[in-house]
Amino acid sequence: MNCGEPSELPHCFLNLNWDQSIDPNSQLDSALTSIVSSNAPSLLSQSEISSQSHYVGTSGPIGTSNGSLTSPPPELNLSMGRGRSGLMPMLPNLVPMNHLDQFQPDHGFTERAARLSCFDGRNYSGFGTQFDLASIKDKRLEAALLGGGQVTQLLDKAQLGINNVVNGREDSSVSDPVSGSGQIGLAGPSDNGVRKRKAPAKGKGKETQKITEDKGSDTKRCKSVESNGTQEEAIKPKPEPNGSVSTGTAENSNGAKSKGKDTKPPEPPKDYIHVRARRGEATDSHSLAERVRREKISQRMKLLQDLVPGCNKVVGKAVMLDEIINYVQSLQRQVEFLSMKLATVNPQLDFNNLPSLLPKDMQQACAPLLNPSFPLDTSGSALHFSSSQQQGNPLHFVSSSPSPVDPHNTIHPFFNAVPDAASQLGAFWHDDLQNVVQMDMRPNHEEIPVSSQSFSGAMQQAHMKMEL
Amino acid sequence: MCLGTSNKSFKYSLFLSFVNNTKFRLLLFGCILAMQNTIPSKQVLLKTFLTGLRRRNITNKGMTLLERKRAIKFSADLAMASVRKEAKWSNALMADLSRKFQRKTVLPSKHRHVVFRGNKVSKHKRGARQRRAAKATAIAKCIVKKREQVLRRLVPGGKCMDECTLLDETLDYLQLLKAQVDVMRSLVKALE
Repeated sequence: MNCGEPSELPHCFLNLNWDQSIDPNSQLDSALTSIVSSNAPSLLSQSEISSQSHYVGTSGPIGTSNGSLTSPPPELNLSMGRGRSGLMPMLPNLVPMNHLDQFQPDHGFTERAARLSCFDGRNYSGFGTQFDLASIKDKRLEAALLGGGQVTQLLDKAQLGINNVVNGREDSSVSDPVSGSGQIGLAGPSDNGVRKRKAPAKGKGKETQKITEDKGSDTKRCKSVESNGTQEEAIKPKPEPNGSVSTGTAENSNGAKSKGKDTKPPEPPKDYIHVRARRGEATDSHSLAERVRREKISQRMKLLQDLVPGCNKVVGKAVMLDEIINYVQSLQRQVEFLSMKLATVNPQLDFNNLPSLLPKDMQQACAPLLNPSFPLDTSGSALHFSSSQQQGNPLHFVSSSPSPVDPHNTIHPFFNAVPDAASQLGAFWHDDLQNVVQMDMRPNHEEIPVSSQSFSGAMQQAHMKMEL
Repeated sequence: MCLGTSNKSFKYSLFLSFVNNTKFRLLLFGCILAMQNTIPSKQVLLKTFLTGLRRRNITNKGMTLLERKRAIKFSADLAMASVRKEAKWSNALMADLSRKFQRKTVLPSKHRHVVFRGNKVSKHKRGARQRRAAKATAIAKCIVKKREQVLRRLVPGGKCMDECTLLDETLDYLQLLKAQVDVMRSLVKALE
């Protein structure tokens, strides 16, 4: 079988091995490493590579246990050794050697390859179309042609797994900008869409995975896909080995998961909560619920990581929380400081000329407003002038939303130029700030008499303490 | 800077119609700043803030510095909370502020919502190495829990939330805090 496109690498990789009815696994190791050694730029990102290698390395026992699948693996021929020309173009897409050092030569190679394809299909989110359904269907076709019935089955399940995951991801990526923008107003929706891809993807991935897993023996495979999808961030620091330990790989990162890996515990299907229990983990509802909760929390931590500056390098909840706390505290202190600063700046407000206070680019804006009728000189005159004119108007204006044109016309001549704009005022203020204004109006009466009392130093100290 | 659009003139009138002696310049600057801010929530924040300031009637004579600062902060918090009304923290903040300004003493929250603190019980079923690992994770969990407590204190209304919502609310709160700081900073810059 010829695989033309580099993007169909795993497909070709699989096929070419089954193509040739050759040799046994003894050749496998050397040939694999030789293939791998063609250290080419890989389509996979770094994290995917590392996790992929683990997958590949640990699928041994699964292959061994399933005796029926051993027939294609012996046919595995790393035609690298033969110098097959068709293979060469595909080499650039192979994973770099260093990551596949753990490649175990065994009869479970098809399992691993299928897992590779599973893995690839899911994790090529950035590349999107490369591992689309077409390539998966091609693999299926090839497998059928080869006559490996179980291989077809295998690929079927892999394909379904990929389909579901890819579909889930596509759906989630579509819905994500919506949800992201809906939830967080200020931040760019694209960021949050990317970040929040996990949340809907997980939910959908879980549900769709469940469907695929109803087929019996491939539960582990799809579970690996699902668990990979759900713990993407865990892949980088701590790869998730779904294969067993017996092959001698060193990735027993999670002690709980390494338990009972030699045996394959059957997975009870969950009917109501669409969460898969991971292999080797307890399957009772408590731990599942806790796992869901943990994943939710980790999602949110990821979002927070993007928001808080300097959290990109940090991994781990405790340090992240520390950074978040520091950031919140610093922002709150900044608000205090700025409000103090505004309080000091405030006295100067009334006294100075507008142009002197404003930066130059604003002066243009102020120019039309610098009406000679405005008091621009000393504070005293400004105070008296303005207060006498607009004393009762703002209050009336805001509390009830009457026609705002009147105060404008009476106060300043140039307001007449924008009567239409002014008519919007009432509605605007009424809608937006009704509650705010009501809350503000109440303390207005209290503040002024009270403020006159607090002039002692001790009182001020108390104020300081209360505020800070 | 071209200010010919009706939207901008609307904003001018918006603020200028509320000419109050002490707030006049402030409002004017505020409206100018509002022009420049492109993020709508920042504009809303600014408007609310300035309206609140105006309502406070912050005069330079009648109030001390601390009083003024307090009123400014109150208005800023109020503006921040009103922009995001649906968030839990914002409701908690508003409740807190209204309590403050009804001149009830700011209660140091005698009744703390009891946060579930689960102490990890060491299991003796496993080997020594696993016990050590369990201890390490237990310590890590303690640290995380302590920091979570601190975060609850920081975020308004955080005492009565579970962990997931706490993180959500922190996210939201952080964004608005950032916006508030930006708005105030630009205001200060404009006034200097």
